[in-house]
Amino acid sequence: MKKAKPWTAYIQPAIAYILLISGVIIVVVPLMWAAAASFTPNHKVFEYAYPFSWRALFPVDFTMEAYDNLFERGFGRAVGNSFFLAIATVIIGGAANALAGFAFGRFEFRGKQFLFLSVIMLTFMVPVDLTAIPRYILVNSFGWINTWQGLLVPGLANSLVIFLFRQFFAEIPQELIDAARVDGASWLRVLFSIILPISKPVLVAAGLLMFISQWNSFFWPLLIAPRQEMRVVQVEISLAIGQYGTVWNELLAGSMIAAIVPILLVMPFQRYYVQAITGTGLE
Amino acid sequence: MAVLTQQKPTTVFEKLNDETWRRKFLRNVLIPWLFIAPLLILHIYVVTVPAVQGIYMSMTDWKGVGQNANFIGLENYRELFFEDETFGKAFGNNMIWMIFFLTVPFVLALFAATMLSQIKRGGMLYRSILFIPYVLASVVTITIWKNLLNPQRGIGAALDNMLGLENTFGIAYLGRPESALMSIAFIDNWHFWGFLMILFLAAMQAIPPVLYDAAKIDGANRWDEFRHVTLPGIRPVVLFMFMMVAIWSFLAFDYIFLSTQGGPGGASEVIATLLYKNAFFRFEAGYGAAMGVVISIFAGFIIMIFVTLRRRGWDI
Repeated sequence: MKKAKPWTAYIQPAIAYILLISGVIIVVVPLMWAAAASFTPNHKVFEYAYPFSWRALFPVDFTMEAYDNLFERGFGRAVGNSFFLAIATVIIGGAANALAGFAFGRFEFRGKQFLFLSVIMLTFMVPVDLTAIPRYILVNSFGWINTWQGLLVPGLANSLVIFLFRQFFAEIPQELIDAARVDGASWLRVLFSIILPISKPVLVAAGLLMFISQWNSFFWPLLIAPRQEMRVVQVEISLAIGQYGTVWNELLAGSMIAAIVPILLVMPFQRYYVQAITGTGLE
Repeated sequence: MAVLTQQKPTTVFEKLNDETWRRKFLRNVLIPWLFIAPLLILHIYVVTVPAVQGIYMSMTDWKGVGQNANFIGLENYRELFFEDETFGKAFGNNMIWMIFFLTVPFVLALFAATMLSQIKRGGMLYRSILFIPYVLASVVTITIWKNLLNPQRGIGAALDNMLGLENTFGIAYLGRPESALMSIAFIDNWHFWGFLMILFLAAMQAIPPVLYDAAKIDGANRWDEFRHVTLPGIRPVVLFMFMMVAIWSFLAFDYIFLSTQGGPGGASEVIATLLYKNAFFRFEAGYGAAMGVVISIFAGFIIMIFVTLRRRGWDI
């Protein structure tokens, strides 16, 4: 016997959809406006925003003017700097964090607990604010202002990523490692030829976390590398926000470039990314 | 085996000659430490040394330039807590910020995650879209919202225009002392809440469906299900995020720095923006460092509460 659903059964899903769609609107409309404005001539950027019409959300007066001007004034350099910095962070930081995560996850040695707590927990606990100024002074005393090493080094160690690697490595079955060890493989060999190949999800997730946090960071780069040739995307934009006579379509075009990179990276790998942030510290 | 009958090696030289000891040393000491060394060096350079220096700096009257720093003990702290009204105000704002972020995003995220977990069509799409703001940089989010909250051409102005009103919604949200802090919190939350939602949703999906079936058999309605199955299931995640958000609330900086720099007239000032100003504009590096130490102590205090509750047998 099959009963037709009473109309009240549709209320709950309907409310769910309505609420979700309003959530989506609150997210999407500002982004659409910003994207549309970045493709609009500067004198028309606010034309449809006030009084508001749907035209504000679509580039009806399409032009690449803002992007052309931006790159003419050397924004390409900032994009290159950001990419270089983020990729270097993923490679160098990834290696350091993975090695440490492996040791924390697989080795038994004296002082492990203490080290783990002091390295990971203290970094969670000691805010960047406490260390930013002394670190600035330290980096300054090395003569690292406006240098790549000054930009790069403080962003390499990432406790979330170490945590992630530790969790993952700790769960790899011991037999797999024992078999290789019996065959006489060194630990480094075990790491590179057995563990890394099965670690794709954790590597993708850790890479994304590090790439995005470096790509999005602005405060440290602003402090440490304000010189024109060293500026990253976020610094260029943040310096332009406060200025009088801001060229809005260019500023928004810059923001769109800064935004599209993490979006494009996270979308296809969302599953890994979510696994990563849910898999850390929540056991 | 020969090794078993041997005397235990006593001197360093004997130890070095002993095969098993060498292997043990290699396996239990040298190799683990080699694996950790790169990170440890980074950590000492990035966290330990600056933290110790910061604590020392906080007990001096150092200006941030020049060599003369006099040790003044806890004088900076005394001034901070008993004389400096701007610090008291900033601390109050941090507390408001914390209350806001411990409620608004949690409610929104729980709500949306519950909705999303029931939806059959397009769930992944909604989830992806709601998550987008989280991966945007603070700089990007602020650029967009500064325009949208503009009194002359932002959402408020457009709303006034549509409703035939004047200066009702079209006000300088970021420029007025009453609304500045809450407006920034709103913007930051626009960016942040999707992250919580994703975490809660993942936790909800890990709850065994059997539990829901059992609840249905017992005649539970949706609310009962939420209270007795969903909430207990995602409790560890929620509580862990409570702790993290409480800590982050004391670190709030980016959004405030980029939008109002703590203004107007200190209305949106928090400890971190005050610290920055003291260190880099007012040449009171020692005093700023004391604020950094205070923030750390609060963060440590929050972690202690959490750890204590866990020790007491709370299922956190």
